[in-house]
Amino acid sequence: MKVLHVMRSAEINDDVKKLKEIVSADRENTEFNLAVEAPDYAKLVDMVWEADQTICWW
Amino acid sequence: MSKVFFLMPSREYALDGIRSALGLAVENMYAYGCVMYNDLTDVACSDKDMKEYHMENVEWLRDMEGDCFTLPECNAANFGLTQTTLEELGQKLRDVEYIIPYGIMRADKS
Repeated sequence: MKVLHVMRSAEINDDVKKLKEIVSADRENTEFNLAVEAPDYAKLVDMVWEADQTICWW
Repeated sequence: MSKVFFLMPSREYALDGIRSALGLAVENMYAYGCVMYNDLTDVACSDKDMKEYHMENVEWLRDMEGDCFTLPECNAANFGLTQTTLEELGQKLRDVEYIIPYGIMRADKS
């Protein structure tokens, strides 16, 4: 299963780290960081289409 | 049937998130919610009727084969939410199709 993790914050708290770790186990994971100056939204859309599941973490 | 899990880290949107989970349950989805951090007493107990209203929403969600969980223990005692741990929550998330962090802050933290 392909999982895309979209990270909204540059610094994530320990709870999110833990949940992300558990959800990611034994799966194919990719990550996209929104907390940059100019996110590549076109690339994000492509990544969403390619993934089986997309999770947007806070 | 689809399985959906609402994660509610925001105090302001927790009760709305529970209501949203109920809305999907009514639409024949397995819907679950989890209050991540906050004591709902502050947002729902000032009015007795409102507290009963929110507790009824949780019971209705359970009737529809969903559930509402809480990480803070106070919500289990005050509202009857199902207590869970972070590890258990993570395992539950592995079994659902859609994970929806609900009412999260904007990227600028507002």
